[in-house]
Amino acid sequence: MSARTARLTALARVARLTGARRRQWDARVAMVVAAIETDGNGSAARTGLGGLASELERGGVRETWLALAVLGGALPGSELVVRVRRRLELDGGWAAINEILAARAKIRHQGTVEVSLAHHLALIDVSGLVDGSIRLVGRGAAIATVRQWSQRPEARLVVWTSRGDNLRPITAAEAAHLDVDAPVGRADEILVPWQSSYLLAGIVDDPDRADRAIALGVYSGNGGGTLGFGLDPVLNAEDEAYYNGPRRYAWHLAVARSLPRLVAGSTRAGLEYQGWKRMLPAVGLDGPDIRVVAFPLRELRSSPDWAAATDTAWIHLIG
Amino acid sequence: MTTTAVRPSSSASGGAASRAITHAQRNRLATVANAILGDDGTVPDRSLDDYDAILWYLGKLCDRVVLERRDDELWLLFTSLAGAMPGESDMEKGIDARSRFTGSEFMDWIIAASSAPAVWGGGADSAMELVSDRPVVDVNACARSDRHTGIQRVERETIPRWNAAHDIVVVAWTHRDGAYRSLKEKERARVFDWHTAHTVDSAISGEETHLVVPWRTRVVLPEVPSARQSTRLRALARFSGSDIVLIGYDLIPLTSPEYLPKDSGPDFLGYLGVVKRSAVIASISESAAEEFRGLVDAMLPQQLPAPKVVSHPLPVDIPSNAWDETLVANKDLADAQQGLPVIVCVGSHEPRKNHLAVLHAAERLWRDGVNFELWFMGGGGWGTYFDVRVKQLKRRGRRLVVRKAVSDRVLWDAIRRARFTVFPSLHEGFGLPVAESLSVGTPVITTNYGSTAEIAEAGGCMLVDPRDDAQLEAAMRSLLYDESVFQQLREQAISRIFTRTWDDYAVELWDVLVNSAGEGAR
Repeated sequence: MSARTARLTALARVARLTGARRRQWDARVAMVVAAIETDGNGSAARTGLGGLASELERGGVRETWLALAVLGGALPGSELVVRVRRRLELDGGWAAINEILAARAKIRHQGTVEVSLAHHLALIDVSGLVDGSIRLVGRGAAIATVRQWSQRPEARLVVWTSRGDNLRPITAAEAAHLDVDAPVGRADEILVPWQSSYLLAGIVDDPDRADRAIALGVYSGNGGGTLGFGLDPVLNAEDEAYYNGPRRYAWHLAVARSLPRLVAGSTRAGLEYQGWKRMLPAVGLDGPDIRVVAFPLRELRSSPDWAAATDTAWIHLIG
Repeated sequence: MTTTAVRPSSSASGGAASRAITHAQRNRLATVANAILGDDGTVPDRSLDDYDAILWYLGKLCDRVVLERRDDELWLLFTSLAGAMPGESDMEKGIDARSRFTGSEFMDWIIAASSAPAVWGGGADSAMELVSDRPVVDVNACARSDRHTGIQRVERETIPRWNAAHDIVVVAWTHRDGAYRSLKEKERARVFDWHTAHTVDSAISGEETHLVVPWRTRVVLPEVPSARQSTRLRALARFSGSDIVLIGYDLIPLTSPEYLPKDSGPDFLGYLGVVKRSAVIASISESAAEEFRGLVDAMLPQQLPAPKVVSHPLPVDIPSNAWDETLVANKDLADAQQGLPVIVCVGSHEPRKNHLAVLHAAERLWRDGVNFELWFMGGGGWGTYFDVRVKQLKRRGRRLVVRKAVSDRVLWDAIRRARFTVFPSLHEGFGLPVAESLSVGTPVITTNYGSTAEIAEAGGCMLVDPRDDAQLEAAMRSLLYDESVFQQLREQAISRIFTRTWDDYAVELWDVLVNSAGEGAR
């Protein structure tokens, strides 16, 4: 497809968006272009779709990820990011916009969500901690740590939406359940991290969410890391493995693998993660920088030692 | 109490089935009594009917189990009574019961506990062979399927050689994965005579088999068991007095789940528990060995005996006709070539093989006016954008050939014709296409880490980061345009001599898994 054809096709597709959908699209395009310009990489020479096409061509893969996350209406998986990036390299920014529009057309709930950029924040993913539906080693310690972290001004607690394609702020009810005093949002509000940190304190072990979280770790340019309490779900999977549907702790580890840092919450967990890290060169990866932070025992969670441990973990994960 | 040791019912068909089970139980218990009790295990009155004989054997054996408290004897008693091997929880309950009960009470317990496995295990009415003097080799999937990919290929090259040189027992699983059984004739053909008899029917039924119970011996796993099988194998490794040794192919479902279908994995997680309880792991490359060592390291806090991990790479055993220049196996391909340089990419079309990166690099080169053909050789695969992208590129007139079902002849012909092959896989246990290409003097562009980098070490390869499209494109451009680089790699490839054969591999693997099992540290 020539650049001219790609441009005309994209413009025709956008022209078919009417009313609220068109206003939403234009606002999101402006949001992406502004974010890239704020980042210092933008040219600011052109606005609107033309500006977006230029910014995508000038930018790297993280700008592609951002455009997909905001305009596509869902955090993208790795295959989609790479596919759009390749299309961009071959056919330019307008062709990439066509790919984004095609991806967007597959998301049926566009009109019902409101996208915000989470800029210079720390998004703490508490999936699995809020509903307690998932067996998670160290769940209590993770919640206690999140409670401490949530007092930091840059902290925002998030979970995956019920569709599993976006991160949203926790609701007031979820904050109450966790017993945290933290900013809350609505269930139809989604947050896209940009120049931020993504801290995985809960568990992401289903394939779809994990695929998107891996892409966030690898392509988005956001920093972050994992708070982990060991590999028990893998090392003692045994009979449970069969009845766990599509959920696999291996997916959670694949997300942890894609993030730059990991805090192991005990010496034992540290040994387990070091063993896991030894497996990763087979897939060409070094894995995260692991630091052991030995959290005090349960009964000491209100102690200064506990606060010091959570601070140490925070500093390591934020970098 | 419901028991498996019931007197035959009076109904005709039900009675016959019940009598068959009872008679089989009697014979199995007689075998076990002889193994555990020696002369004391011989029933004093041979005229006892099956039911009374079973009670006599059970009484003796249960007294012994309660008195001696040996796990291997409990495991064997359970297995023989049920005609199915116990799982870990069955054994843990049995160990608890024998510590609390008298012999008579324990007999009641084990009759009840073994009844469900007897019904569902698939071997309640079968005779039993107790094996303690030879290795037992689990070839279940290889024997029961015509599939012939990596793992089955290793088995069909290795196990027949072992069988010729050593006394081994090959086994499959009963219908419900309850126990090991002997192979049927056609299943043996799949394992031992694949190259001449691999057209056997997939469905084999009707032939009698008997249970094979490994006890105080060695069980070899050259394939990955199912989750159900793994529950019994873990108990076997813990309690039967046998140890398990295995070939370790890779840990892809654990380290790279995103490269597999999203619903895969449960069997592998069960298998990890077997790996944890194994004595020796012979991995197919040093890279795979490191994966398994990492897993063993991660398990250290559990303070279990650590399996010994040995790197034992696969051989590259090229068929004699691979170099036969007169083989023009595929006229279509020969006609398609039209004098252009050919790049061959071997492997199934799945995300792990990274074929979309190859297509992308090729398209960039084609757009730059570089003239060549790209041939993909290899079938199967799943769920990728590959087919869509191939159609798009063909519509642009790109010289692209995709052959999904290819014989060995066609494959070797293609590899020999290629200017070079490209294999930028994201995760491999071994990477056979790299070695095969080098073995016929064809240079390779391949992944700069893991097992493919190991194979590449001795020359003939250009290494790239498979996640870097620009590197892959530059490497392909270089081997198409830069004659000095190409010739250098070509000479290195031609000089590569792969001397290890399947004969060597089989001999060495026997030493690693059977002769030296359990010796030394990892």
